[in-house]
Amino acid sequence: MINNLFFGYAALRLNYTGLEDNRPEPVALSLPGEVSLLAGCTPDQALLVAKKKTLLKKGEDVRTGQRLRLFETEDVFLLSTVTGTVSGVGLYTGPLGRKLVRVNIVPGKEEVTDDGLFDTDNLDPASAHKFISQLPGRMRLLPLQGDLPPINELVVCAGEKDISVVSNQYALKHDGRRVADGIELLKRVSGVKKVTLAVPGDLAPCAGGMGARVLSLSRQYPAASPRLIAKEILGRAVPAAKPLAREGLAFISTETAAALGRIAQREAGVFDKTLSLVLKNGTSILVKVRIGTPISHILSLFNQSLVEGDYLIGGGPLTGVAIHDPDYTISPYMDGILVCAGEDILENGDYGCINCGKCVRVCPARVPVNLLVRHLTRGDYLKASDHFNLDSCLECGLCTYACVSKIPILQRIKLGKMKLRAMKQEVIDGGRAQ
Amino acid sequence: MTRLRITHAPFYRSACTIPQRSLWILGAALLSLVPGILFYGMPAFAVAAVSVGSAMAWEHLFSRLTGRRNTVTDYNAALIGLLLAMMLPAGAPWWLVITGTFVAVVLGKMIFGGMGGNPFCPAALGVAVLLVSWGDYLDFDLAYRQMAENFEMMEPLGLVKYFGAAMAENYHISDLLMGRQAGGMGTVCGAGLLAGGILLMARGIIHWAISLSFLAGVAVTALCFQWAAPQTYAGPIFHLLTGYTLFGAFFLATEDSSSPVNTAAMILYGLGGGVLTVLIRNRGLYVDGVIFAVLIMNLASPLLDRIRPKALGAQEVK
Repeated sequence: MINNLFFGYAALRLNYTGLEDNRPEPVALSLPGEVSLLAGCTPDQALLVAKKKTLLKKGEDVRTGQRLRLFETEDVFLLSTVTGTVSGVGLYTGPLGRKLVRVNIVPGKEEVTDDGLFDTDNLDPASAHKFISQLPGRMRLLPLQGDLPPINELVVCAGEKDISVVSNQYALKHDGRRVADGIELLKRVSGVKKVTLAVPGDLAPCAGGMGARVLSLSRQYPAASPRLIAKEILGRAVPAAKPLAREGLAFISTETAAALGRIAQREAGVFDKTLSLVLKNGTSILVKVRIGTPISHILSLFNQSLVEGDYLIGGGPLTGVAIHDPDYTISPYMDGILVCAGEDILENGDYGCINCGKCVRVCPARVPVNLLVRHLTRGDYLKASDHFNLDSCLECGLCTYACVSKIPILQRIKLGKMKLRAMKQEVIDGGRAQ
Repeated sequence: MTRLRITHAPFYRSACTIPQRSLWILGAALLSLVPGILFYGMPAFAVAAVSVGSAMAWEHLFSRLTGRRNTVTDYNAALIGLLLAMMLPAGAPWWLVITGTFVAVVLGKMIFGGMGGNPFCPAALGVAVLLVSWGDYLDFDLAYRQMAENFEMMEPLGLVKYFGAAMAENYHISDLLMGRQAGGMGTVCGAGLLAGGILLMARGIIHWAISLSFLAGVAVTALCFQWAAPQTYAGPIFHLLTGYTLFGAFFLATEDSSSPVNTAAMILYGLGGGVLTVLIRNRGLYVDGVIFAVLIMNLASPLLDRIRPKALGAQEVK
């Protein structure tokens, strides 16, 4: 996980992993003894879970694709990814300390798919995204309606979130027909006419005949970042603080489109996720695994033992999240798992910025990182946002990758953005209190 | 349960660290210092050793006095000491060297909060103070008058400045490249400096924009002067290979925190430094202008760095 190239300028260019033609088929893994599904919840809902007052009770039988309602509200539901018996509903603390509801299900012998999963005629555009966000895939569709302007362009992206993962490229190359079916279904549900398929340049031959305009992406990370794609599509940069949905753009990954295609064709395997597993010795294996499988189950199948001080990373090496619990489950958007020995990861340094300028030269958003990081370190977030383009950051992690002082720049940027959001919320709440 | 480690992304990092960076620059500098030491012998080695040692000692002492983390192990102080020694004549007195490293390390770097805070290139600042305080000790003609060599043991820039451009013909390009000229013990071997500079540029440790534009600035300005008065002013090749030009372009102007980071700004900074160098040499009081040119451009660096590309989706703040 440490890049040691002799030629410094070359070391700052990172390319996405491609799909080589000789790549073996993904290894299909067996179902675990128990799957866990996670959902976010409000403090009030957490209280209900703690008091065992959820609608879903232990011992209930569920079918694959069935909507599991936990509370009275229609908004929060989980799609069961297996057929079996609920073995527990409880609270769980996820990565970054998020409070979650965890539903455990013990898979049965046979798999029965719930008819409700295939009932796409009744998908309501305003709530379809809640359903779609539980299918395998990375980028989220915002509400297709609601208080946002109508979506006038749907971007189906075969580019990846990070450099080590290939899930979306795999979906386009090997499930092309299903991706096309999924796009058709999305067009029908949302009423969007214009669809753009963003594909890494070498996969362009796979993108024909899908009823979508093809946009070719560079192989250089982070070309597949939604804001950079939006700039290509609109011919101008979207203002940094403006959500892409306000420009009428919705993003969805090809993996999600393929899952929707399976639903449209009433096929099984909707909840199978392909992900890149990078083992401790550096070998990368593409695996197919059911959403909700504990990571520890996958690791045991590949004889990976974790020792004190190791890293378990969900996602990729530049934007992933360190996971504290080997029993944490495969979420719909986890495109990769990295297992790393602690000594293979460089620690943060305790130096300030030495102004070498590598971050500035590597930044895809042309943010003056060397000046920005000084203000972030001081906690001067308003100034960082007003004068040093904090909002323009794409959070790709390249500045931190290149940093000579090994400053945790990305962490500070995210912290700064979070603090600013909290400040704005306080102002809004204060205004309401008046 | 196994305790796993939690840190923030990214987990993939480039291997370039501050100590490693300093060591690479040290190594590149040795390419031209070693020939100098071989040529001038023990006095040169003594100056280099005292300079590196005292620079590290000053940093250690200052860290102790101010109760800060000791940063001697990042080799930056050693690097400053080495660069300072390279610009001095062999056999410079010990007190001069120690004063120089004090100014460079303590006044040039540490009081601004260490690496990254210094507004000037520390080594250049040290030499500048020595130059205006004890100019005679840095006069290479005086320093080397005892040495009888088989070539002109006079400083080429001084000769040209006081006796006209014809004196430049005493020096063949190969003489200048191989260090057969009077000058700082680590700055006379043009070939070694070029090799070190190219190595650092290939490694991405120094940026080509600064070095090349500095050299371009020197060459173009020297050409203009030569074109205007060929009897008085020497040509671009002579200016590029004498004095501190190459050394300044690769080791002084490229110092991280006192130079800009945006490409356009770096090119302007380098060009400005090159132009000022030749202006001071040809029309100024001093024989060599690199040190002062670099320091003046250091002053302009924050201003130049405001020339930067517009960030993605940046909005004007009303």
